[in-house]
Amino acid sequence: MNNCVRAFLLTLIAAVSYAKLWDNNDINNDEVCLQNIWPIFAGGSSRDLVNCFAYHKESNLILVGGNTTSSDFAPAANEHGYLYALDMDGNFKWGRFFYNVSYAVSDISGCQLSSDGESLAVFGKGKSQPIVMEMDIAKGTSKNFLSMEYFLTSDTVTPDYKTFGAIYYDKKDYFNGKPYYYLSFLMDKKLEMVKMEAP
Amino acid sequence: MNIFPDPIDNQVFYLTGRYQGNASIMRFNKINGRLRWYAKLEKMSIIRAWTQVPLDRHFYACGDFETAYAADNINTAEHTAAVFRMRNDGEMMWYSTFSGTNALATASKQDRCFGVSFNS
Repeated sequence: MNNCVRAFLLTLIAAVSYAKLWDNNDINNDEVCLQNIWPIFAGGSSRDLVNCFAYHKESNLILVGGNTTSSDFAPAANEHGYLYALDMDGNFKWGRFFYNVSYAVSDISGCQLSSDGESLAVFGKGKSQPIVMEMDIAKGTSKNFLSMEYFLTSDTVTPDYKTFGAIYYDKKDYFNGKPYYYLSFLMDKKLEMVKMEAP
Repeated sequence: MNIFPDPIDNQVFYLTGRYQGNASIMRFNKINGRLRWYAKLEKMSIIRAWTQVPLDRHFYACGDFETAYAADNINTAEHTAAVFRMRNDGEMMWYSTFSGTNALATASKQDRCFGVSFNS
């Protein structure tokens, strides 16, 4: 079966069996698909949101991330952040849900290519706290995962965070050459801005 | 809310989005987080997307203007999409709104902008 037919069939069944499609690694993308199959749908029977959209020129991939509560898309019906990559013919290259030990990353709030364009900086929430990831775009794996916790957090002090798409990963600072993340989010309704050295 | 760099000044970054009820743009020093300038757009409620011109002092951004400011239902509140071009010193070059009727919705003016791109 060539890729065009395969992609078309996959698109047709996407709405009913996306969880299976997600793990489908047997797609052969060596063939050239001359028929673009757009639009591409991803999600399930409940709420699905897109908060992150980026195009990576070198790999020719479109990266999409967001949040879902669809149990027929995510592993469970609670909030799950997701991220996937499409090639220009609409074929799924990889897709991921993320976990911080036993806690699901509940939201991918935004993303942006790093300053050198080689990786994707992702901002989200996990365990009700802001999280930052650097993604390997070709493989769909996280190069690093950072979870932020307010230093006064305790049983009685639990800040409420709201994360959006405000992330920028500067791989080489103009002053000292070090890599830094720049983030902004709401903590207890106050706008916070963070500069954080990357590992 | 977005953070983006300046293509011709690597010592600063911009924070865009919504602040105190209005669309806003803030320009900060990278090294110490000091605010260089802040633009508050009275005729926009939020900036959702931006794009830059390589090796140029200008950028484009878009979002929308919630005309009935106090509306608490996002599905019925009226929105007008807006786009503008700004220079990196905060000077607004032009600003334009666009909207139309929505035959499928009960509420009119449901126009919002979620993406903008520059093609050289």
